[in-house]
Amino acid sequence: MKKLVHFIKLVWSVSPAYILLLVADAFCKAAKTLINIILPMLLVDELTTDKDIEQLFFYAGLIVLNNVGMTLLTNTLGRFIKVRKENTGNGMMKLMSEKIMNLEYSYLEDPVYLDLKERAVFAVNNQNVITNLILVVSDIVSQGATLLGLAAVLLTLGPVLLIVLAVGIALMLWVYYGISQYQRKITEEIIPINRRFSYYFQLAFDKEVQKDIRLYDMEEMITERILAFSKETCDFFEKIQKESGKALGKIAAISEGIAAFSYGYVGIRTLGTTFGPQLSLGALTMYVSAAINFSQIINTFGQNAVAMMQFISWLDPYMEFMSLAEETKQTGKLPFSGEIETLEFKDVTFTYPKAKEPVLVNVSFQIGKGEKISIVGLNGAGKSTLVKLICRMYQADSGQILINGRNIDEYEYLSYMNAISAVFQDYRLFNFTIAENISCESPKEDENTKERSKRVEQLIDEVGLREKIDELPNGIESRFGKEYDEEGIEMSGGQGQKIAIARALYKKASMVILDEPASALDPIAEAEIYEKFNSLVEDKTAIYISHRMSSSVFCDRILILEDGRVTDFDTHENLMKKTESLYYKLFQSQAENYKLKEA
Amino acid sequence: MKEKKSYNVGNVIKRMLKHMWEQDKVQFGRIALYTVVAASYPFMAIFLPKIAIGILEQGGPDAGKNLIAAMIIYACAAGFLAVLVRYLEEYIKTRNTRIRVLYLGDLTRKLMSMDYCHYEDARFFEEYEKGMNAGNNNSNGIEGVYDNLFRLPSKFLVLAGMMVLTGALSPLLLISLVLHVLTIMWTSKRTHDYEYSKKEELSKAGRRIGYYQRTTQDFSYGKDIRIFNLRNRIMENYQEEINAYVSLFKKICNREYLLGLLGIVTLLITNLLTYGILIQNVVAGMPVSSFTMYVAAITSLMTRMLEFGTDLSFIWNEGEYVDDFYRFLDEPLIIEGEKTKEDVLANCRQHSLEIVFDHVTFRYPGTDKNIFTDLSFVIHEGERLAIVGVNGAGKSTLVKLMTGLFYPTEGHIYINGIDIRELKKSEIYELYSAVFQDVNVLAFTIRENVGCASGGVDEKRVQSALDKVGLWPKVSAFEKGLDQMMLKVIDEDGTDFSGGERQKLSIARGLYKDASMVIMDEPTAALDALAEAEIYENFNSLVQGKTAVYISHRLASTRFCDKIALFDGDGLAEYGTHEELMKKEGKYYEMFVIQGKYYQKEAYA
Repeated sequence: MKKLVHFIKLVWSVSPAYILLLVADAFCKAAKTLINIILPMLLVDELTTDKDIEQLFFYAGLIVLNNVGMTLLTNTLGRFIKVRKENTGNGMMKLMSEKIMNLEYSYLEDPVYLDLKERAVFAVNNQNVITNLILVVSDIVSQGATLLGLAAVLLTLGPVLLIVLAVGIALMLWVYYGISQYQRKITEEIIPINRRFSYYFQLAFDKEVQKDIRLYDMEEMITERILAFSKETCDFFEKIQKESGKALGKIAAISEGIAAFSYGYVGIRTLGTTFGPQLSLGALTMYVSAAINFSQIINTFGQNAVAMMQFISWLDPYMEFMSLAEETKQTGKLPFSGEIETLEFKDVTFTYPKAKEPVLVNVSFQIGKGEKISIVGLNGAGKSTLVKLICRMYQADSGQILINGRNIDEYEYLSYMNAISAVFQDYRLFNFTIAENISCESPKEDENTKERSKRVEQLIDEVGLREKIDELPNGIESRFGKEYDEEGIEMSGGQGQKIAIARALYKKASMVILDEPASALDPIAEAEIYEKFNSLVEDKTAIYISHRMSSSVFCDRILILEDGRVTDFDTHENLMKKTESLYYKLFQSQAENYKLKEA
Repeated sequence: MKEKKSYNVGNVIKRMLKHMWEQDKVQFGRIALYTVVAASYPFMAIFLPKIAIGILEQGGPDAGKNLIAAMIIYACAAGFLAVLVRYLEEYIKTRNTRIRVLYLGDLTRKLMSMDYCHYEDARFFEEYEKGMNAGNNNSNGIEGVYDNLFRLPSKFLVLAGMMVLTGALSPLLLISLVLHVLTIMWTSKRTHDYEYSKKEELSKAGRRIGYYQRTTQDFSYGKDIRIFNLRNRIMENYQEEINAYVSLFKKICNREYLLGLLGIVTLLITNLLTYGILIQNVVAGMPVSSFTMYVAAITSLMTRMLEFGTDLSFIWNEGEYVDDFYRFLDEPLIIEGEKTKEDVLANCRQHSLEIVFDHVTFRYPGTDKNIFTDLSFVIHEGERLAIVGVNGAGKSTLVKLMTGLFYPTEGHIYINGIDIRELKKSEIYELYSAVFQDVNVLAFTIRENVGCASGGVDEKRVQSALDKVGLWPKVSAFEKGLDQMMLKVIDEDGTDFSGGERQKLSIARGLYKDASMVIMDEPTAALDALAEAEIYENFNSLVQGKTAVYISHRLASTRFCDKIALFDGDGLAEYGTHEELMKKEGKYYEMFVIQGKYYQKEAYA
């Protein structure tokens, strides 16, 4: 119940109008049913007594008015509800996106939260759980209101019918309870099987694996799994459906019993006064249809209640995700201004959440303004982790990271991030125009537009994209992404990387971090970029990470990381003198390939 | 794209029934039984008031007893029917699921065997998306149609019965009811047509929302969004796309609503007629029990007719998607040689391959930019060719052409003298052991990942392949050995490898396949220097005298290859041995010198 309230609050925050419309709709439907039970009584009484034509047509007119008028009203509401539904469904998804953007970064690398998110997205996208839950709740409200009205009508007849009804309903609910428990049990067993099925099934649609599937003839192997898991799922479904068939049958039978009893009991009361005041035939029709309606509505009410519980449980991952804490650790208040003069790591040790072994151990080093350093190490040595700590995506377990002598956590987050720019190994571009991807500013025209394009054009030249851009009809205003727009452009990995580099340079930051910035570039472009880096980054402080050892030749000093420890921090020349060192080995293994054979 | 054949719901249903007949003949028996039971059950509720009120109207001393007796009989009969109907209904549905699920294998087989080029064509999946969904959904598409179809005969019988009942009372009333229902069906058809005409716009708008949804919810975008403070920008765009979608959707809702008003008018007419005629009849002497029966029958008839109409239009509409599904299964979607060329294959298996590009021009379908124009060169049997060049020069496209994933737009490619177009696709695929930059380790066991089959995998060969690439110590350390599951998606105890190990696994896959020719497409781009060096060694064990192509944007590969082909934006720029190309002092020389500059002597100083 608490969850439901929380959920409704969330929906309310997205679209209050949607909830109001649904409530109005619920009450209209309830009113229509109730009126349709009371009016026929008047008509039948008139038919069995005076048969006054005028009176008859008056009652009939009211019935018709109720039928037609209420239909018109619910149709009208329905039109608005339908639109709101789309709005709200998307809005709830957007709320989740917002949440993700506000989350502390460490969550985003934690498989637990990744899994939670996937489950949440699955529930919302594939099980339509948000819209279904809203609709089911609104049905429950409508049916609840109708049931209350009907109970009021039935009470005027005295307790007998109500008691029998209550017994019948209790029986039905008991059957429901049984079947829903059973369903829940089996559904839990199905989930993992279904997940496996989906994985193999999706392989057939996944473009990335198609080359392998074809060249290694994996079709049979995958199809076998798909069929096996789908058969297993079917077996479970058959169990569920057989049981629910029986349950539905029992419930319908109880319902028939109630109808027969109602006619029998109320019928006898029209014959005499043994069980209470004598009733008219009109009253008979009213009470009987009230009783039948009651048992039918309670039926769907029960179904909806079960569905609601199910939806709420499906919604759990979404709600859990939405209540994750947002960027709490970034508490610093001090606005960062000016330039980065020094960066210092003091005995920094860091372990990823839930990991056993630390990735960085007692890392200490210092770099000064304008210095260019390179971090070298094997995969997994902790190079990228070090960068993430500087970007405040994680916090060190112990030790301090100081910028201009202050712990970086003391600075206010946004102003601090303004001072840092980065190109990551797994950089991402967006389906904006090229210019926007570089400037990261809104495309709206203002006084800076001209200056902005000028800088973008200049960077395009510098990173060596001029030729490519000139080919495009819209130049830097071309939009990325074919899936987004037919006119959209696609870029190769190398070109994309250049855009990412331009983006990092555009940002007016005093420190630039380049994590494998040139891995997808061809030799010439790579060499060009490296040669230019020093002029490109100007007097900014720069940290490079690259597998290409040649890149470290450009740097003032090289930080060697081995298993999370700093083993050296020196110039290229000095490092090359230590012929036993990792650096020397790495450098040699690549240099090997470029020995100019004496021609 | 071909013009879509006109859609015939009859053919679709015929084919669906045929499928049902082939898979589960008993299902027809179940449906027959269901029809009998389900057609009689609704009349119970209609006659109940007539019986009860009739007994009361007749009166007499035994009215009370008679009423109770009648009600007991009624409760037993109706209760029995109710249980039978519900149970049969659910049971038939679950059988329908099974019958439908049997199509899934056809669907995925088709996907995995059709020409690869369709995967790179976004429009292809757009065109067939609904069709594929029709196969993989338990409330719409194939199963939805099956579920509606089996209820249709009983529903029709009930409808006919009630129409006779109503028609006997007043033909005019029956006509107005039918008119009302037809109006509603017509308006819903119009709405559907309108929606269908907006289908593309809608799906485009939906795709755009989808882009923002995926991007914002993809954790890997998190870093850049934070560093470049893109949060507000992106959320604004997201909202704009939602608004665009909703305003389009609104148009459809408005159309639906306005058309719906017509139905309100006919509803008014039928309501007026119903009560007018019934009241007249009662005044003229009809018993009130009949009045209540007719009201029940007419209300029921109206909703049943509507339901029947909805069912029909559901079958019609979803049938169209089922038609798409069948179209997908029927379209060849693969262009290849007709006959198996056993002799050629035998030759290929014995020797290695010689590949000839003969005046090949290629552009990706649907684009107008040539990747290659009039490209001619030869990869000789047993030769190791390094293909190097700038990004975007089409190096990976070469692989796609050699392996038959794409056909050249113009010109020919010959494998051991035979035009690639004359071979079956599966035969071409068989010829290559290929390793790509992005290794796809699948959630199968290690044995299956190497052997690429679930049964009949030669354990010794898998072992020796893993041993050659240096993975065996790691694999044998697993408790389950070769049966260790990869990835955690399927098995929580599944394992994952580092980038270098994944590459090795992929090379082991190539070794196990032991195909006639070896292709490596940028296998080391994401690896560190030492891991890269290991991969180079693995390359040698993979090749062993076979024709081999090593694609890289780095020049290191040229060290262990016999020939070098340098591609630039305009195609093949230089071709020859390392010595030849260095002597030439052309582009290759330039690249080599630039890239190697910082590794040379002066850098050691």
